[in-house]
Amino acid sequence: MKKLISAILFLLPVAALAAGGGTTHPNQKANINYSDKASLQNGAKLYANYCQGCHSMQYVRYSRIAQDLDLTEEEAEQLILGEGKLGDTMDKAMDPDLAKKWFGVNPLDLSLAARVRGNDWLYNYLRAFYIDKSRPFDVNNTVFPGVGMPHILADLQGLQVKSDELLAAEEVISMGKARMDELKAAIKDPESSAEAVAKAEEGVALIEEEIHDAQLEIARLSREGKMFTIVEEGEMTPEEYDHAVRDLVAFMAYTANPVKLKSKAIGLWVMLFLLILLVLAYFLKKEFWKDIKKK
Amino acid sequence: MLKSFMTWLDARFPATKVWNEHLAEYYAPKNFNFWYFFGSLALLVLVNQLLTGIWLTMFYSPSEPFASVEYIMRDVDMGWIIRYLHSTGASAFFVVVYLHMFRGIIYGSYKKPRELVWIFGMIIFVLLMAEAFMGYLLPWGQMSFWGAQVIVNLFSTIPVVGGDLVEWIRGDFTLSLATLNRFFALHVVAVPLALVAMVFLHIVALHKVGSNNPDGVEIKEKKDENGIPLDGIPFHPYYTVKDIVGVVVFLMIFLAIVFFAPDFGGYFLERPNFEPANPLKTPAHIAPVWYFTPFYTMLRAVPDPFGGFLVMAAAIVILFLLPWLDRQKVKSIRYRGLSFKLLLAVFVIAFVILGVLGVIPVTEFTKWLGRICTVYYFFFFVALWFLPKFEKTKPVPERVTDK
Repeated sequence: MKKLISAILFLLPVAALAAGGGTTHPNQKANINYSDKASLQNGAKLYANYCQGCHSMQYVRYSRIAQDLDLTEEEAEQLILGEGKLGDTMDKAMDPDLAKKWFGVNPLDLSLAARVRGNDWLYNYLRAFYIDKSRPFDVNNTVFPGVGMPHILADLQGLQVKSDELLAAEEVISMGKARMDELKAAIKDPESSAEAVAKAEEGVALIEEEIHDAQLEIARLSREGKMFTIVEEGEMTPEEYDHAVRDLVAFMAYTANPVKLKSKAIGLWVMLFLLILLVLAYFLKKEFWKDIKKK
Repeated sequence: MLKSFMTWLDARFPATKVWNEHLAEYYAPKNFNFWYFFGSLALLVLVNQLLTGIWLTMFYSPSEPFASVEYIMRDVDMGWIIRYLHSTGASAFFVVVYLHMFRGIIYGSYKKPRELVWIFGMIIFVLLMAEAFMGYLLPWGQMSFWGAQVIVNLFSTIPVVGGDLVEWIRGDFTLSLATLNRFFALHVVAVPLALVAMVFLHIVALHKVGSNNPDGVEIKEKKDENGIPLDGIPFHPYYTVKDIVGVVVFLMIFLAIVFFAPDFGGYFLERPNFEPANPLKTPAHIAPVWYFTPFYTMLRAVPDPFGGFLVMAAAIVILFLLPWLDRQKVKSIRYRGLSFKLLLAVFVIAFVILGVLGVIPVTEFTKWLGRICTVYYFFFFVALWFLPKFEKTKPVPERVTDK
């Protein structure tokens, strides 16, 4: 039994780690607070202003948001797009056919986005747009390379480019990978001399180290918030923008799982009830079993 | 009043007789330990699945599967509790059933005269796998779709009839709502009926031969002057009150997951399953739910798909043969030799590794590790057959011990 438990405890973190897959940068924690109503309300406002034009939340009702986020009827009505009523679901303004024409895809429904991608992913994604003139909307994204969405929050964040340090590190990686391919081809080539193969293998080891160092450098830039440089200021300072994105993600986390807080509250009472029941059940069992033990 | 009613009833239906034979005068060994909670817990989870399942069926719609699940989660009063009880219940079912089966192995509960109890139990296990598999398609998320796709396509590896067979299972040329509809019918009517019937037979067979115990001693061999086993105590009230304690402890863990972490870190409800099924977009990596992963790894361990399918099927079939493969007369691990204990300990570790390997992406290392564990899984059963030749067992006591 003990062996079984220790084997499971040993292996679970391995599984969790492996399931994480490749890391993208930046990868900061969103640190949202579900019980901060002001944050959720601000997130709802941001969502209505910037996201709802293109994205629907077809499973979420305005009335439910009003109820859960303590909004007055007037406040809730401000979230409503066009002709909608309070009991309606949050549909988008855009016609799906037109959307497909403009963006190449129909923008995703966001009801459950936070549960599919995770809060942290959304938080990093919304802060990782940078100028890239080769893309249709002149922006790309380090968290979601080749993204099809324009940087809709550019008014607030401003526009940024990859910092020189990040570019340098990325250069090291792409150059290294190209050179490594050449060397590996040389190693496989049957016509290479033993000496040449040994030299190529040495080279591969060296490049692997270089790439590893560059990846560490990117991770450091990501940690220290030095991946990007603002070239065109927005309405908000970087701190204010991070804060706004956090509120928006909090709101999306709420819509993805609107019962989270309620569930915790009910759960605590359930646990309390079971604890009392456990004490009673234990003594009941003890009372009955008195006559068995000494037989 | 009650007494005359019971007389009236007993003249027409064996109410008192059944009550006595299966509860009040069913004599169970007095030395049951921790491992003996999982039978009654499995029954509890079955009832939970049936009841929550009935309520889910009231609101679920197989023509709008994904949307109707979200409707249950958001618009139906308390719908989310019912749904989380059902989804967590599925995982809990396998937790208790795996532990229940493990108990059978360590105490030799499948050995004569309890072979049929084990066989019925194995049929329940297979039905449970079918039930869980088909139920997992119903939310119609990405993992539902692609998981079912992988498993259903396994049948296409069967030579000659494979292609037609898969089409017959799907009821369509691709996995579609037609498939979902038939899985829905099987999941809510056919398989549960079979499950309940088999559980009934499992218990009837058990009560005919009586329960085994941690000492592996037959308590029916030592009876008092009234024909009551000396080491037996009536199931009711003694084990009913004891099982209530087990039930409350189980519920504390189970409901903590339901209320505080129903996704269980993506293992009970997988992230991609919150995205509607999309036949054009394959998820980055497809992993079955945790309870299928040991068998999934065995499937992937063999390079040839049909070979993998056979190995996976054999892994289940061989469990049916356990009562005849394990030829050691001594039942309980308490009196079996060190060789058995080691063999079993490694089996448990191998099974857990197989499970873990099923969730993580394949690398060269994990591929070979999976193969080694698969080979060991089968080696375990072969070794059991030969073990009595070498095994140094300890003397089995006449009566159950106080431990």
